Amino acid sequence: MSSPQSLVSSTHHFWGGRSSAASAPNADGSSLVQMLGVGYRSNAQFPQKDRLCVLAHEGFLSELVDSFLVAPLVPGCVYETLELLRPDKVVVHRSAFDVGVWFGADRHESGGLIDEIREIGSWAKENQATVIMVDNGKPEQYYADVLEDVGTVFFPNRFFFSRTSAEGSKKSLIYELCRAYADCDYLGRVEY
Amino acid sequence: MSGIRRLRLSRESRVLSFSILFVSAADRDSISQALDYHMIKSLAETGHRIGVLLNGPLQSSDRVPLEQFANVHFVSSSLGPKLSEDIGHFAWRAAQEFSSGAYEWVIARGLALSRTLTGNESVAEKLWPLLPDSELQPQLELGVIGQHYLDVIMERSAGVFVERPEMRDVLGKTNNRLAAKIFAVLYSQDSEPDSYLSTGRIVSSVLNLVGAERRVLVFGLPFSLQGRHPEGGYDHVGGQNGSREHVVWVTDQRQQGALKYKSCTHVHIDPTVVDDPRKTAWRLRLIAEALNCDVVISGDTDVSYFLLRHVPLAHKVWPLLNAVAVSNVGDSESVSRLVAESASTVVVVSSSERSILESLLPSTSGRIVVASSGGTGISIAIQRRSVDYVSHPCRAKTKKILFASHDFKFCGEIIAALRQRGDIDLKFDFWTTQNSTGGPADDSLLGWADVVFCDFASPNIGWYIRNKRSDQKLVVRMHGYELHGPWLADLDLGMVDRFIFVSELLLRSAIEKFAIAEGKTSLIPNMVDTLDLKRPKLSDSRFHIGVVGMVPILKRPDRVLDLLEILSDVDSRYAVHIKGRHPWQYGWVWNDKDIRDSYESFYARLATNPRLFNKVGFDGFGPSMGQWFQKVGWMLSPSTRESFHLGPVEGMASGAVPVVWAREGASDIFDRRWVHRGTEEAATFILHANETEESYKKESGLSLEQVRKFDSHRVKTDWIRLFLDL
Repeated sequence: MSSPQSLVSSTHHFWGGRSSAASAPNADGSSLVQMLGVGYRSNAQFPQKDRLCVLAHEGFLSELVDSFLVAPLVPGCVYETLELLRPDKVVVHRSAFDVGVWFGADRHESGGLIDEIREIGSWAKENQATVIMVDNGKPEQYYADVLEDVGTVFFPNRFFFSRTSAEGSKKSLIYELCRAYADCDYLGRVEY
Repeated sequence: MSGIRRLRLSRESRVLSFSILFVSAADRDSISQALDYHMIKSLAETGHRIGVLLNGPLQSSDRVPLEQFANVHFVSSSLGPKLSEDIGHFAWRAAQEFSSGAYEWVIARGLALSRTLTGNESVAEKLWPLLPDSELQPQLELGVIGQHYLDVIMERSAGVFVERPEMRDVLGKTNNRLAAKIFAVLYSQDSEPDSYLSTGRIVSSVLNLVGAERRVLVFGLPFSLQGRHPEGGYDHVGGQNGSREHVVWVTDQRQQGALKYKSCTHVHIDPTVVDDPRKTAWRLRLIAEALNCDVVISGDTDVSYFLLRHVPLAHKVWPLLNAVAVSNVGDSESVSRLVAESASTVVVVSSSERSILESLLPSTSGRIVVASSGGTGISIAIQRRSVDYVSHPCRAKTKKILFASHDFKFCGEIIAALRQRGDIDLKFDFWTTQNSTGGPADDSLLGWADVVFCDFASPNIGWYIRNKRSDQKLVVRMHGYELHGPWLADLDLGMVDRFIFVSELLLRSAIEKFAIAEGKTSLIPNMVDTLDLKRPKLSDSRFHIGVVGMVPILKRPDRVLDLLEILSDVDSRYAVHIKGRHPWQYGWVWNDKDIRDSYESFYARLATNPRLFNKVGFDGFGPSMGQWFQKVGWMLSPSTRESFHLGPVEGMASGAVPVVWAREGASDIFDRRWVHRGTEEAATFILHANETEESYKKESGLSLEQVRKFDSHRVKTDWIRLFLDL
């Protein structure tokens, strides 16, 4: 079926909103990643070997920084950050969508934020990286399906520890922390 | 289909019944007789009481005799055959019959008869001449004299019926003001295009629409909206007392709704046709054209697609996308997607579906109307978006306006308002850059125009100053940056007929700098679509601060960080969202070492301060401002210089509270309560106003109240007046 657009003098596309301005040049290839000096940081003298890119609520983030090499993901340069830092794991914490710069990202009102989260999924698939999705038991929002697509490991997760915890064996710190922060039941998700 | 069947349908559809005197002085040949027969029969079938006054006999031959209809009676001319042939005498007899008080309307077939009847004042205001093509064509060929003759008839009568939409367009083109009074009744001796779309039904609908300011055709309304009223249908579109729109409901027999309202007309179409979107669209098109509908709302996406393909009607078509259709927009090959891309306005059922649609197709931003409970949103949108001939009556002569600029991003609302009008014709002159002075790509456009409007007083205006004819008007709008450009000093600004400024400060500065005559200036502020921007806020948005644009450096992004540091010390929930491009995306900014250094220091401060790093997000450039404002409770305006600053004003329309750093002219735009002497004062204000949710709501309410003066519905009338009065 052909578009009626060509037949309609629908000029609204041309002058509709601010998107009408032409794309601007970037002669010297400057980028937000570069300007913000995005890189790993840690408070630990001997950080864990896993390098993490993290989209998390402040409390969880600071706990991760105490033990790991961590780079927070900032809206506006997620894919570039992942490409530059090539983390072992990406941690996405749903509480981050309630406060701070990722506010509202899991809702349809988020605008472009959800696209950046989708990019985490694309990058992780391309690079076979783990994306840990840490839920907090909040009701599902509009983009729950996107979060499911992006994540490769989900918390809370009854089965992840079932075989080893009985033996008293400890899990790696990252998963222990994720389990601690995902202390609520996730409503409506089929668990991993 | 039998007459009895038709009458039953009429009662079901509750079309108002009128007493009509049908007068025909046409030649009594077989064609004229057939036409008269069809008209009378059709009106009778629609349920009206018809008095028939003819200047000769009407042979029914093999047709159903009109005498069989209980609501038709023949009036004797009592003039005798000779006097009946004299138009003057026959018209006198018609006027005499009308004066009996038994009739509400007179439909008179024939040019001469109609012209004579318009001489009788009491008849004229109730008169609907029915002008056949065979009489109109020779009259139009007479040129000015013939046109004047027709204008008198149209001017003095209540309205005019012609046979075909094409003839209506021809007549309407010669006089915009009268165009709205002309209706095509699809009058033909052969057959009616659809048994349900009879001439009588169209005439009924037209008579029912008398006095309505806007006519809205509605088809395929979703049940979710119908169910909101006990009888089904919109509560508000055409339903409220004092409502200025009249709704023409087109349904098949299965759907009934909203018929208790006087301001609704119900038109049936064949139920078998409804299953075929192409045929349905064709019928809707005929009805919309016949009734001069201002808006066509279609709840059937496939039908909308075919309606949008009909170019003359396309700009009036508002497809209503239900939840499924909205979700289908994500599929780039879907009909929903094509419809959403093409329509000038898209209707959705709820606010959340608007957000979803904007996410799936950002170009729909600003074009979406939320129907809301009972259709109130549609009703309000129709009032705001359709043409307003009450404030500014349609002028007889068309004004041709040429819009010229390198960037039309501030013109969208103006253009939308102007292009709806029948008395304004628009063309566009797109300049590739603002600095070229060698003339546009197509210089013939200038010759066409009555008025040239240049948005931005960029160097391009020099070409129009040098080349415009003395009878052409040149209007230039300044936005602010032009004040500091050297080129205006070299131009003969006396050739500009009117300068428009978006703020008082800019107006005063320009008058002072360029010695512009004050009488040639107008202050018309930027406008915002408050209907589109007022959306439910996300909870906790009162801890989220918005900034739109950080380029050029006079927008002072460093002040944003200063403010955030203070706020974060008190409450860690505060975060800043910056929407717009980065400075390196503008070559002229990034190549300036001095300015670049300021920006680099801004980013370095973010990078090295953990308190700030996690609290500033960059949301990127995009059209979905309404959606973005939903998470923002405060809008900053830290600039040292602005002629208006649209971003915070748009934010106000969403309920965000503006926080403005004092600068020259700031309090011309923003209330003084929101203009602060420095960052600390701004922070104190935010913390105080945000002490509780209630205190924030109070401030937000004030913001919504104050922004009304910039509402597009209000400001666009200033533009229409400006152009019409030039």
